[in-house]
Amino acid sequence: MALNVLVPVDDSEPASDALEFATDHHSDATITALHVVDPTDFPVGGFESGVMTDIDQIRENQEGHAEALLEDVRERLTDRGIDVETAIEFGKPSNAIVEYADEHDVDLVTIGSHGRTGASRVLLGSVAETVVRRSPVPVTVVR
Amino acid sequence: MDDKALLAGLETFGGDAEACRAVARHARDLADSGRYVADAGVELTAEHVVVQLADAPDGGPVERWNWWIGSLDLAFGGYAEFRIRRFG
Repeated sequence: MALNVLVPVDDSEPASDALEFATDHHSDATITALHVVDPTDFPVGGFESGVMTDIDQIRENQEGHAEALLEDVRERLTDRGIDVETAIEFGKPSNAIVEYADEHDVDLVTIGSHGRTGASRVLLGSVAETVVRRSPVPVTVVR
Repeated sequence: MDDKALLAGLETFGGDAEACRAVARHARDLADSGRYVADAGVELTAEHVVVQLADAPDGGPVERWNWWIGSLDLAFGGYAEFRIRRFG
């Protein structure tokens, strides 16, 4: 049976590098691209703008963004003849990634780290660190 | 870094005084390097170190420290020098 490689994705460069690494090194595998929607990650200015913020609307926007992102990944990988699955989960990214790996038939996790800018460097690196600590399956960190 | 608080916290992991001192020394080196705060965005305090080490599945202070440094090295890179190879 083909390996199932879980690759957490967002629209950052390290995530894109992780996807590239996974497809280059496991071209016969099924790649599961997982996007985690963090409900606490509100758009900047959401509350300060003076407009009543509708939680359902935010969530809908986040879901729409996630679906578009994953559709783009699916297209790119399918074009290269790679077997791809996509999934959306909600929650704190590091926990959601580990839980997904635990509850699904995942053989490996390939995750990006080390963003170029300050904020994403801290955020992605910290998510990768937690996944390394808690993952039930081997993890490759792409830096 | 509050050395006293760190040593007290490390003792709860069951190591002897020598092992605790080795970890405390490396923790101070890591704090002084400024690397952790730059990577993780969190100041390296005695309490923070003890909480991270408590997350390790098992082992005494040195094994727990090396487990944590290993996860930092994988995630961020550049932490191998803070690993404890030998002490005493």
